[in-house]
Amino acid sequence: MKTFFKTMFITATIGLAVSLNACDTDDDDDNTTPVFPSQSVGINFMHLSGADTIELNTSNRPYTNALGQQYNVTKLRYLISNVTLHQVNGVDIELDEYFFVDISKPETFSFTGSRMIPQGTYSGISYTFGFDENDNTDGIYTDLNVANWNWPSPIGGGYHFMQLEGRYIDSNSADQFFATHMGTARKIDSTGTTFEANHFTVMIPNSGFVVGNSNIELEFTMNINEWYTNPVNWDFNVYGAGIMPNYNAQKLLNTNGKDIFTVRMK
Amino acid sequence: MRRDTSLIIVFIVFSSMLTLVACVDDDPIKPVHCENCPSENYPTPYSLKLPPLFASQTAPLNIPADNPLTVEGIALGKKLFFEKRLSINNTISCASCHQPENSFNDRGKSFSLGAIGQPGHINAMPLVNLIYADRFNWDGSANSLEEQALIPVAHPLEMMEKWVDVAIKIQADPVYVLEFGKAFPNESIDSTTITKALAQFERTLVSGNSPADNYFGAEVGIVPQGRVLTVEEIRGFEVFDDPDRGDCGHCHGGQYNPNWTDYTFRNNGLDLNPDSGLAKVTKQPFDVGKFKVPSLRNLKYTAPYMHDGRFNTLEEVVQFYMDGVEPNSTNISVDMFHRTGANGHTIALTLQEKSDLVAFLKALTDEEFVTNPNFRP
Repeated sequence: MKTFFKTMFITATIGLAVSLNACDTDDDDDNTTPVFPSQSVGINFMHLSGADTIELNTSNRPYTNALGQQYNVTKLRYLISNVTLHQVNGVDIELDEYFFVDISKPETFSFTGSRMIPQGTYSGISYTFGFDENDNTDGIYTDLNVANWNWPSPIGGGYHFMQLEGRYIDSNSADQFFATHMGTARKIDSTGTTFEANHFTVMIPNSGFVVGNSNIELEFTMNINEWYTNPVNWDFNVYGAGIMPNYNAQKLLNTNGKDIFTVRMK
Repeated sequence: MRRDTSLIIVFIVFSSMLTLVACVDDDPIKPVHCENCPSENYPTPYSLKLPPLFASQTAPLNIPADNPLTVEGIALGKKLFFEKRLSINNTISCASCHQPENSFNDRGKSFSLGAIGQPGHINAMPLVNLIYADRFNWDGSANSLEEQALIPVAHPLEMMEKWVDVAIKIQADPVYVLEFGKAFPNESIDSTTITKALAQFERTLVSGNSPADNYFGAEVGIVPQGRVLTVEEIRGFEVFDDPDRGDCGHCHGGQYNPNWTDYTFRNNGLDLNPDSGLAKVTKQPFDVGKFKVPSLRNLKYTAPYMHDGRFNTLEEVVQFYMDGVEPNSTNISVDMFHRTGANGHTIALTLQEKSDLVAFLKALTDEEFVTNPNFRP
């Protein structure tokens, strides 16, 4: 019996290893400075509103933003890219993949990074929320296309960076909708229409870590309330649904979003 | 070690029993094998030709590992699709309500008629590009095409037949015995192989030659297979794509998603108190009123529209999205509110924009698909 379970365990482990390996799209071609030994990086995502873990589709409005507006969450999808691990020796390691997280799909919460990283001390982690100008090209990502993740061309094209949706209680105590969708910012003024890239790239505060003799796991936690404050309090009554073509709303998300993530090593 | 082996055998036998129990009620039938079939060379693997635009821009194909496409399986599936003996009184086949000349839906009927002329309860869906889908029926009640095909045969408002009796009828036909022997060597003729064959045929129903496909394909360097969009239809797409006007894309995608759906389930606000929809399957209160977001492909042939076929024309559909959405409908999709902000639900398309949009929607129709001789008996 013991042998049986052992065999099952080994089979399962191999199966898991194979399936993990299948997700690895790394075409590692920079063989300039091989550094050994190295460890794999697991990345997990968690989502909070204040101190509460987000639960989708609650019938009540359990979360509260900085203005005291109560809300629930019916959808949260977002995209981050250019995740970079900075070593104290000045060498940066950028993970190859982008991360498209949908909190209704647990399989999108955890990944094994495509790169092995060397042992040593890391000063921190940076990432780009959304895609930068180089990556935000119309239609080139199949998995995002089938998720209807494209950002409409009349407002700049490329891809959405986030869809955070739910219901809130408005100033008349009525139930209303919000759809915090983020992407390229369209500006219309006397000079005409221009499109401003709206991603941001930030170093996560206190994100240093040390890699020793084992693989590491990094847990990214998004506190969605940070979209709605610091430095500017967001009012759902002003920016509810329909904010995609709204330049000020798009820029405000960029302003407020820089502190949405914390990270810790598990 | 011997004990381990016997345990494993017990385990395997037990799991097989579970699988059998999970099957439909055709177990009493003695398996029929094709005695003289040269099974060594059968079945022949089939390579499905996909439209060039789809190769780079759509989801991976959904083909179950235990039912790969084969030449013989597809041919058999097509024959069974037009087989009236699947119904209780041998009067209707799958094709009776899923007509190839109408993009495999029951054109003009809100509810199709069952084997004894009784009306059904939900609109028959067109069968297009299902090889990309992973959940079937308006309410998501089937997780594969094989699973889906089990339902209408036995449904009291549809074909009303017992699977055991279908198996008896098909097994009695020596031509079928030969064909099953080639398509599924050493397997029985039963609900499993019949639905496998039907699913194989349905996976070949790929449509990718509409004026919109040709227009958007040309933008990425694909040679058009037919006409491209007209000026009017291009204006219509601009309405479709514009978050201030149509904002159709949150549910139906756009030029980079040639299936024109994201396969999600949503409540589009048809009624204040909507039908149960997905909640019938999930039992979750937050799924009440949610129905499958349908592909917009071949709309010219698929009226009436919506899960209950309440709209006869695309003009009515567009008008509904302009001013007919019920904003307080249970679990209505937040995506119904982008165009006007949270507090409104009406949009004001001009007459010109409305007719342009309808023209574009019709240009998602693939005339080659509805006349394809490969899809006929």
